[in-house]
Amino acid sequence: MSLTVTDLKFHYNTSQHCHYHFRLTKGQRVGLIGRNGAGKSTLLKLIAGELSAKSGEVSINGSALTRQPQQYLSKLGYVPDQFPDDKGYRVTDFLTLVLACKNISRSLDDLLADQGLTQLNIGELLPLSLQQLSLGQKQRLSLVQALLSQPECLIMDEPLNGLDPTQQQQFWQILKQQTNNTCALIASHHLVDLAEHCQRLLFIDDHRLVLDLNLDSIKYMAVNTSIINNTKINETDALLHDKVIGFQQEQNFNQYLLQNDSNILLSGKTLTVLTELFRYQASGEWQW
Amino acid sequence: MAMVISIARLQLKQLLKSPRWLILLSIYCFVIAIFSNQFSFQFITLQASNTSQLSLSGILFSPLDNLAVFLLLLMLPLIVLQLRPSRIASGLQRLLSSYPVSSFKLWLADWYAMLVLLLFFYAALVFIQLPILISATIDLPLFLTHWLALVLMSLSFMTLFLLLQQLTNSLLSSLVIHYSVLFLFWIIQLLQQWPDYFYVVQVINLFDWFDRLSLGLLSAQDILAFVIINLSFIVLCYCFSQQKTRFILLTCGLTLLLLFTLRLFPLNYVDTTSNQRYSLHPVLAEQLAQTETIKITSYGLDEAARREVNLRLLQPVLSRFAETKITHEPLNRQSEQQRNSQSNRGVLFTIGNIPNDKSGQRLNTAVNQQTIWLDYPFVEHPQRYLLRSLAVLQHRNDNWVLFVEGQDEASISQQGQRHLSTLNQALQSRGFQLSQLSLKQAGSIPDNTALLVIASSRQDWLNSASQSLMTYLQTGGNLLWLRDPEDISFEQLESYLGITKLDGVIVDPAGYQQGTPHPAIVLHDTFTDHPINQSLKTLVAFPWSSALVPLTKGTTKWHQQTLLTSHPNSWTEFQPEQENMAFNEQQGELQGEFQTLIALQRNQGVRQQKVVIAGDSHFLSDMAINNYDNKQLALNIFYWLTQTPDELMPTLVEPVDRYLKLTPLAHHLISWFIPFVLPLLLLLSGVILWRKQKR
Repeated sequence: MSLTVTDLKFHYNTSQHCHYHFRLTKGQRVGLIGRNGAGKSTLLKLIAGELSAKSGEVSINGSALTRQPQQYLSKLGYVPDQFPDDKGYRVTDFLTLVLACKNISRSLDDLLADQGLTQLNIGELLPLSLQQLSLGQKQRLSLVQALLSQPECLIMDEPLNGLDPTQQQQFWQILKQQTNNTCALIASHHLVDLAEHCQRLLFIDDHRLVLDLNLDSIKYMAVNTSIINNTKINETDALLHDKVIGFQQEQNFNQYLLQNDSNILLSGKTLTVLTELFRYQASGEWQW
Repeated sequence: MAMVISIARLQLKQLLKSPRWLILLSIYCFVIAIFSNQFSFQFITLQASNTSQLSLSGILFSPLDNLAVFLLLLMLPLIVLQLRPSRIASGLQRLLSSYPVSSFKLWLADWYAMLVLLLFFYAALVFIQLPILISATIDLPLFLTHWLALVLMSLSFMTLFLLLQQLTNSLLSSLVIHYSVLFLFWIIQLLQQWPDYFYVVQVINLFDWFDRLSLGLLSAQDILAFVIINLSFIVLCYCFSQQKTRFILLTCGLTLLLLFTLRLFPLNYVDTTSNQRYSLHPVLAEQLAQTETIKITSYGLDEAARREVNLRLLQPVLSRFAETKITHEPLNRQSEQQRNSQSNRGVLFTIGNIPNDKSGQRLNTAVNQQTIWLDYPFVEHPQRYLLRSLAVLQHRNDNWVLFVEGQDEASISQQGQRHLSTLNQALQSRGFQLSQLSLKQAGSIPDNTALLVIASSRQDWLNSASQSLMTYLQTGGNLLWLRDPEDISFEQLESYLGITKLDGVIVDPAGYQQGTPHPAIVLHDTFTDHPINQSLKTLVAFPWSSALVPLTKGTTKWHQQTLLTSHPNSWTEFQPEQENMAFNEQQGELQGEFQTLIALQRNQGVRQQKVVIAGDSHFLSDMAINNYDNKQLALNIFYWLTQTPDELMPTLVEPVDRYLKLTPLAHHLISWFIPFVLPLLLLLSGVILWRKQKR
């Protein structure tokens, strides 16, 4: 089970374009990181079919969005950045609509129980209208609607917004339960959480993928101030990128530091480096 | 399909929970119920006036159904706004686009939901009409055709509005687009006034397809047109959702082509009215079949008038006589005939070679081109009117209407307050041959006199003249005797006919309260059942009239029938010139209900002799003939008296739905419950729901 994004191109206008190419595999939880306006939501909308790509293809297990949209969308769960706040809809009506649209014939209670979603306490929200929900309640409901059809791929845009710490813990717990057979792409600014709960991080900036980090194979990182040419680092230990080098072995990391001392901008454990990197980026001192 | 229905059910639930819908429904119910109330009581008033050819479908159901369509067209954009545009505004549509349901299926779900919602509006209409439906006999085929028109029209616009929603993502622009399209259709409807220039436009004019159905003319073409239009809207929506631009153009082209093709076929319809009011009467068809050419020219008719003329006269004639030449002339190109006529709107019927009914031979070339002028608006069915005129034309060679002169009578050759030149023109344009006859000079009344008219003699008759008149009456001659308060007392004639007049002028305070300029103008609004009173729709006004009374009741051989009477509180005023008139019993004035128009009939051998005595000549004068229904009454009197052969006159089939008698319960329902309580309840429900949702 996998999500494949192949040469996906989208034009905002004549001057702004984006281009993505990556693949998510079964059981993978992937964090999508980028500053505001980097193009995270656009990428997720393209994958969710909300926006139409100019070229390229997105597919889940061979079902392509452009060719078999119904099959593709039936395998997808989407948590949008903004949840609908239609005052006419009560939560129970909304979830019934979701079941109808996803062509699910089972009752809502059965589904919630079967999928371990009862801890999200959706029952208490059922009589309320969508407009009456708090941001956190909306996020819980949004997660439920995405998970109801047991999707093969989950796309989530800022799912942690508005959740209290306990609910955030519950969120990750549920996600881990759900993603045994599912791949998930989670866009968020909660770097620490993403680094802790995701196996992989995708960094995007200026509507392109700038870094793809497999956190399982990287423990240390070094960020070079200049373009690194002719590096002798073992390619299996590092993700090839012109400025960021990742290391599985502490020994290799230390050797690299010794050799490139004057060219190193940041170095250390992965999470520390990434946090600093974002601080630099936020202050405008450094750009990808 | 199950998925679509499930979604539709939820959409409908949302729509029904919306306070906006309830408020709109309450307005809809209020407006229709108020008009239903008005139309019902108007119908009952007309019914009391014994107006013929009255029908519930024409006075009540058809206008109500048209009003319902109009309201639905105005309200539908506001209702459909709660579907896709509202979902887009709340972000729900965005989420739905990530679900495995196509936008076309969502559209279909909206369509189903709206369809069910429309049923609520239809049900409300039926509920409003229910008291009438249970109180009267209904012309069921016509009623059902009205409903078919209503359903097809509202359904088409609903589908169109739902289609238009696909063009925009904004609530406001959606609303603007919907009402702009409605406005566009209104413009298209206006362009119908120039059918020769905007033929293409007619094809897409939904109102045009709706018109005939709404009148009760059921045609496969109209129904097919609606089906094609609706299907094309659905296909277009599918193309929009699939972003198939080429197919959009193809669908539009194909739809236009199909509609054009439908137009090419001759219009064949089934007249569902119980009295076949839009079909060619068999007697008229038989008459017209004997003529060689038929040419019909309308003058100065606007679109609405032309439509009526078309439906009631032209189409029925065309359906039988396809070679009939029809032209429409605008107002500024009036014919000589029309200029002579008082009215400047009407239809000129030109026919060639009418056979003389007596000899069976065709008329000679000099007179074979006959014209008949029909004033618009029609006061009676134009076909009946035409038939009467044809009958008059066929008899006119040996039938004259003679107006007596020589005793200071009102003259047909002079214009003025007292004179009858307008009546003269009206009668001539209808084929009557008129002349004036001085009995002092002529000595006797010609044998080929169909009718003798004495229009208020102010001087005494010579004995010889009186004798000629009596001979004429004794030999079965017909007479119209118009009497005024200033008339001489013609005792010989009065005693022969058994009718005299009372002194004084009838004063009608009830008419004055209704808005007449002088109390001495008597208004008649109740008409007894008689051919002369047929087709009178409004009022008849008799200025400065005198009261008629029978002389010796029961001694005369004449069968008397009172046609018009004054209001019960009128009196015979001896000093009508006074400013403050009041009933004065001491002076001998009488108060009560006075007869003002009497018809007399008796058998003279094989034929019937007819006399009409009117207590007034002024109602036919140039001053008053064009007021209210005076002219129609005048024409009816002349037609009846000139003995238009009955076998030529079509039997008027009365509509089955011409009687309405409201039960006390129905009366209460129509008067206050449905117009006020029902909308108020709906409005309150809407407000409560709105407050609940706001909380």
